[in-house]
Amino acid sequence: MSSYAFWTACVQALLGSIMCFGVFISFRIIRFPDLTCDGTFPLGACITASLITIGINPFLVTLIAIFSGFISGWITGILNVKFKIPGIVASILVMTALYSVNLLITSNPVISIGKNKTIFTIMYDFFIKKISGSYFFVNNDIFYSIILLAIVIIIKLLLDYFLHTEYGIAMQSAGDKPKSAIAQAVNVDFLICVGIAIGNGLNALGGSLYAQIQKFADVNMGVGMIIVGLASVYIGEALEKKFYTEKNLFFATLAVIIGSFLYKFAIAIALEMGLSHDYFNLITAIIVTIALLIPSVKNDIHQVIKKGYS
Amino acid sequence: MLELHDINMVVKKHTGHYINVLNNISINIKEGECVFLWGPNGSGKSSLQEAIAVGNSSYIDDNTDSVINKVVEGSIKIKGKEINYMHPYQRSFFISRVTQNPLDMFSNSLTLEENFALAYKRNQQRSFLKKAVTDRLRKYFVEKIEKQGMDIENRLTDNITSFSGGELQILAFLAATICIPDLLLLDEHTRDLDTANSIKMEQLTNKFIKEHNVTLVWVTHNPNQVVQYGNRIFFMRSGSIIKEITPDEKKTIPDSELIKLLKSFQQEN
Repeated sequence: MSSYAFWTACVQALLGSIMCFGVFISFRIIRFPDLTCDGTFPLGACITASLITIGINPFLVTLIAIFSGFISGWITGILNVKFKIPGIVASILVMTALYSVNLLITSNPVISIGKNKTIFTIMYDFFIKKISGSYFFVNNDIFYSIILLAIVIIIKLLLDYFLHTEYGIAMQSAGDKPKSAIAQAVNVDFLICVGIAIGNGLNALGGSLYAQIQKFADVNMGVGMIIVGLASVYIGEALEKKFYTEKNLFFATLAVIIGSFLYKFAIAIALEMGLSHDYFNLITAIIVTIALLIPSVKNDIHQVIKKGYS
Repeated sequence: MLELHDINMVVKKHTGHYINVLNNISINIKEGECVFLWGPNGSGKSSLQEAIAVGNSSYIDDNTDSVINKVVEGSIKIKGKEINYMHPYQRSFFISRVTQNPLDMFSNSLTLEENFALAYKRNQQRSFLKKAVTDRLRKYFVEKIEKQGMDIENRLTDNITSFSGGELQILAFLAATICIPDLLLLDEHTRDLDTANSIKMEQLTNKFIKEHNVTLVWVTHNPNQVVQYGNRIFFMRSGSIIKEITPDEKKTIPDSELIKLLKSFQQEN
């Protein structure tokens, strides 16, 4: 594997793991089959690209993108808990609606950021040019990897902390066994909405950073995102179950990152070996299938899907 | 304290078929009373508790994959406040319930201490920032559980499913009483315990409700518990209350007579 391909895969894996945290929260903490992320990932990207091109501060834009994902997730949650629409259907509804919303925002299927500033170029200017006085040149992908790694670690630690707070355990309980959570006076409906909203906020953040690194947004970029997220989450879960007999949240969130890396590198190696890009989704499906063949994982997803229909 | 007026509970299936589980139940319980529900299996004792603690609910039948709705009609008042319109989680602020299956109290994905921390905050505002399990709380839980003769020190972080049925019943009762409810509903919470532990649990239950003046509605199949601790006894059959023994009446009936009465009621159909 060439050094170029290696660092590109690293950037992709780190971007992926931000999104995978979103999938992790909805699928493994809330146990809600949330397909909204196929819509919120491009939503984050489209909002970012269109707002950056009109000259708004990229940091503010990133926050707006997270917020937009949060709102979309909230709508999915409300459709499920208040109007009793099955989880899968509710999320597909929002996902479908978001496709049009994305087109409205960008008014073009593809929108380019061009030479406008992104948070990465700002940080590149700040860290590399100002501090080191441009004495040494750092490859873009390496620099992106470092920044993204910092973001991923911060999100991981925040998530670990949150899951151990009073609301964190209430949320786990609400997702795992709503009946017993209700017996402990946990507002299950509210926490499920919050969980889906946080998950989609992270998906939108992933989309936003993706757009800022690739310098474009495409309304179709969300297609198949859920399967990418699931691949990473379930590879991670398979690893977790191999090393721990009991649930270990620190490792579970770490496994999401590892899963994302394993997945992206598997894809990168497959492409390196001369497979055409057309086979991309096929390879993804095969990887997910392999991860799902592990019995405990199969059990878990069955539970999630079944719950989605209630 | 607890007033039920004309409670009907209907289980509706998707086919339109429905079953009356409770029929026109009206009872009135005073504060601090220990009330027993007595009757054969399927007479609606647990359903009455469910009507009070949960109210309307719907769930999916695993066999047919169809939705089943439970509808509760009538008025349920606790301390003069109507609760039948309330969401079940709001009722949990002042009602505590131990169901037949103690695992219903706990989440499988949480450890023992996390489950207890969840129960500990039941009638308080939860926080987004505070850690749920602190050293102070951990010590408090250990002290509370070890009083019941369980060696728990090293098992606090165990998964809840690794405890035995009897241990779970003790833990479920402790979790239900870790903050003081207005109304406590117990459903055969001594069923899986051996005789010595069962007696210990009865005494603990009695001590708890006397200390905090908690009203208790207790379902059991053990006549000795009724005789020893009961103030008021309701006899139930096929969803209706057909007989009531008030505290005054109970004092006049000798214990052996009462046991005979209870046993004969279970047997006749």
